[in-house]
Amino acid sequence: MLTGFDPRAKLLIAFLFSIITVLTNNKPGLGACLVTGLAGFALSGLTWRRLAPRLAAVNFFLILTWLTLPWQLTGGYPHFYPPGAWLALLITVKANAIFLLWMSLLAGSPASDLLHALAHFHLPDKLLALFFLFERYIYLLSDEYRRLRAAMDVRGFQPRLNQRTLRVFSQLAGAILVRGFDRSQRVYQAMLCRGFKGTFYLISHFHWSGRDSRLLLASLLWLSALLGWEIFA
Amino acid sequence: MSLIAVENLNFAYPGRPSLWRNLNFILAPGQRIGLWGSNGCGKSTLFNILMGLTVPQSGQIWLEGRLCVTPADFARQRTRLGYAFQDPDDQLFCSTVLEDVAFGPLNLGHSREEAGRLSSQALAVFGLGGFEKRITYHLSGGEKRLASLAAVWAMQPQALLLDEPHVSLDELGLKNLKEALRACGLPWLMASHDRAFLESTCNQIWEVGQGEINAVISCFT
Repeated sequence: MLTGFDPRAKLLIAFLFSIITVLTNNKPGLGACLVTGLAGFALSGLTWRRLAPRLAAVNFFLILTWLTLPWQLTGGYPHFYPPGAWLALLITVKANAIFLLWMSLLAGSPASDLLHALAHFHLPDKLLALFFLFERYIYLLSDEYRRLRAAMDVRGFQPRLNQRTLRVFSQLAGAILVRGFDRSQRVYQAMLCRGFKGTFYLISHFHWSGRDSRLLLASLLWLSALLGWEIFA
Repeated sequence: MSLIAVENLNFAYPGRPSLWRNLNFILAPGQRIGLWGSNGCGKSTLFNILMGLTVPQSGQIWLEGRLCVTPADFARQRTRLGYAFQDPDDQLFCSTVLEDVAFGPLNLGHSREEAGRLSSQALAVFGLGGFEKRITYHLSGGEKRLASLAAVWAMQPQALLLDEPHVSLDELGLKNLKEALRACGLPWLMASHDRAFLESTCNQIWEVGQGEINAVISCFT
């Protein structure tokens, strides 16, 4: 449902929401931020099946904050430390709220659309080139990996928990890096041959429509309410 | 005036024998030259040197009558040559076919409308009309090849450097490629180890190997 909107509007909303969420420290405000993220997910048309593994990856890293922050070492034993737990809770809620909204707004846009939207905000060329090539190389590396893995599999390789498997995988990782580097050189040379001088020019443009303005307006109203809540509450 | 002139070119990879000794040749307008030689005889290396991507040990390169020595010289001249890489995957890096073909024209400073027009024209010449919105990494091998050729043709080069353009194409792909090359109207240097393919597309064949290029055969198609 959110996929049809102009990526520029979605990027702007996601960006402002992230800043406001980071600044919010009162309990009802935080709750509202999390609800906003969940509401975004409900409106996005994303399935839980698609979201869950990504959400799990984010929260895996947040486990680290729960393993460290809520504990204080006194007399050689860890003791529960409530202010630390509150801090861990803050980080967890904020990270999940922001992640939910970014996923809901931007998961439906192809990376090339996002790049174009970012270019419209006049970000530095180097940053855009980095983002663009990053997106491209992820595919190249995964292609390279699949090809090598297929070649290993057809020669009867079966990963096991032993030293040989570890050695084979380390060689695989090395081969992917070396091939990835070689290929990146060739891709860059091919770009030079076509007159690349460090600037990406855009051929396709977006069309801002009335519904984009309405989405942006409604979001700005809600975001200023969240911000006002934090300032005056 | 010659499009490409090479004088006394020498090149060797570190710790390996030199690929040629004092190589000399000229590509004149209207010439379609096939460079025939075995794997590893230095065909791709020669193209890289002509484009200024690899620096030779000695020798002079003239592109459209201008001596090219520094990277800046090559950067100015290289967009006048359309170099199609051996592996189209090295070349196609944008998401959609239109974006990729328009990449060169936009770099040359054409407006979006002009770049779009040139790209559509290039796609039509190479039999890819209607492919504008297709995703490049979902194309078949033959389509990728034609798209990468359209991408260099769209820059309106004076000549093409084609590195094994027929490799990994099936019969239909080969037929489309030959037709497109015939229709593109440009002179070229085409590297290949496939004598028959060169004979069916080029009007002269030079043998690469043993340290020099020998013009051994002239055939006119």
